[in-house]
Amino acid sequence: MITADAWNTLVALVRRARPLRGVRVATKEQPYGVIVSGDANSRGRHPWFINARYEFKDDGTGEWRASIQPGFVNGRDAHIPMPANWPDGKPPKDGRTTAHDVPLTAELVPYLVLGNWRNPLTPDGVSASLSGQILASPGEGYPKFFDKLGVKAAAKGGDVFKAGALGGEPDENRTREIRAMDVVLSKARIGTRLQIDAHNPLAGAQTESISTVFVNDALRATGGRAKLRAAPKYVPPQEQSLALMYGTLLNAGDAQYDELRMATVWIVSPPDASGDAVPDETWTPYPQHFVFWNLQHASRLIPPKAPNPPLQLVVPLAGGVAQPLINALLSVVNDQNAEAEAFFSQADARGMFWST
Amino acid sequence: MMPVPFVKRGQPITAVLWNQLCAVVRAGRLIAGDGVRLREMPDGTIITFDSDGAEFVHPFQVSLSGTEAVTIRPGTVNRVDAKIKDVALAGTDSQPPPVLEFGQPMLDGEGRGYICVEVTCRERDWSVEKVEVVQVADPNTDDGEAGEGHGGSGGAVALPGRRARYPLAMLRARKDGQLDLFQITFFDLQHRPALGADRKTATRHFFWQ
Repeated sequence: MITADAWNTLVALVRRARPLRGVRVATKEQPYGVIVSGDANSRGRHPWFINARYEFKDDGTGEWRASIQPGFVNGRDAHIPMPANWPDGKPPKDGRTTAHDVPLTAELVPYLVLGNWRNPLTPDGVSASLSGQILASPGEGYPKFFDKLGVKAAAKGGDVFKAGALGGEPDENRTREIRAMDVVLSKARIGTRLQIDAHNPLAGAQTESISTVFVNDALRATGGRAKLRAAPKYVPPQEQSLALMYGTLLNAGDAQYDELRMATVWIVSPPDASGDAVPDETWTPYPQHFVFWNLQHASRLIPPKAPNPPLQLVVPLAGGVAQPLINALLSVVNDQNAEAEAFFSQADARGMFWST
Repeated sequence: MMPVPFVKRGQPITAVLWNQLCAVVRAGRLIAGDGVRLREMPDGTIITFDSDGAEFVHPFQVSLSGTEAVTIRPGTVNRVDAKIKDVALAGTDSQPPPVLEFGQPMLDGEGRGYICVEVTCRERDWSVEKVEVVQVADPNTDDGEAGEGHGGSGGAVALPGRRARYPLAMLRARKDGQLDLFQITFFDLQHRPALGADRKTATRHFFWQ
């Protein structure tokens, strides 16, 4: 016996599968189906244009992939790391198992796997206040455009026991879920590291000397290529500070690369999706681009001048016996001077991107 | 896929029939292909194709002419016309727009080559004296042969003779011998050199569009 509920669910499913005409598409209903005609010409796509689609693998499972229109940094094509056995599925002859970089201009175009989506509707975290309240941070939210598509409201945050703190206010017209991922460009460059050398203050009138060391490990490893990657949420590289002997706070060194968020791929579920739904082929992707032209990149790389030699006072006092004492007293001045010099003239190799 | 048979009034709808119907519904589900966007609605699915953009005609637009030559739309660097063998890309009253004939293209180990503007600066004030279109394997080597490909700190490498190159398009040789072309520059260019402490040599060159 078929129940009314089961029948109605089936009817709703069949109705939902009916193709409706969208932009630059013609539909023609036939007894055996609906003919869908359109124009998928790709002319006019800008560099870094993202096309996200669901692909089925040989084992029957599927995944969301983003293919990217070739983009260039300093005239060189950006790369995407692909598995060692890509593209033919055979392990490489040299036995390598690590991913290898494939240029966007390759004959067989590489792609990013979009598989670790973040949920912008839920709170980013929960904390406890001194008064014992448990507070949720607000959800990240999404562009206003998705309001009109019926995406659920994001969590407001605040006291977790109040409505809307952990999830948006329920609305029967807004029942779609949304997820997001960022596409990030990383460009290796020369980096810097602060080097502190210890000396004998009695002999050299200085306890510490501070210099900047240039490092190029990342540059050598990548050959200077720009690389694209998909990240659940882009976090800019963090600077690390180092407190010196007299409390001067200096940049301990920088990452050997600069990064730029190129796009966010938003993906919207069909109506009535649950809060823990994972994007599958029924979801709709909406790439939001932040970069539309090819890029230039350069490091500031202003090498610092060599530090001044330490101040010394050589006097034949007590037949030279007092010299270590004089040096020790002077070392305080020289150390503070070295820190001040390093503070004002520390090399900064961080770079910047530009286009038009 | 077997069509789901119709049933007569009173005929039981068996699990087999039900499953057949479910399979047909599943098989009819739409999946977005290249350039297609699907949006499921309660009453159906909206299918949207990417629009066909109007042709974008722009400065320095490079077009392949076979596999041994290219034509380039007129463009400037600091308002100085780019030329091929001393003929402006737009041509002159007496000469047609020039064609860059490079024969067998210079390519690197991975089959990459570039169509570049090569800028020569004046000794006096480092302003742009000459802009020539060239085909090279690497814009950042003196002779255009394949090299490391970058100067490490970004920008264009300062070449001897107060020169620097900026890529207009990339050529990529395919296995079947054909060349693919990827446009890199879409606008007229601006240029500034970064000079060394002596003001007589450049450390690197910067271009922007």
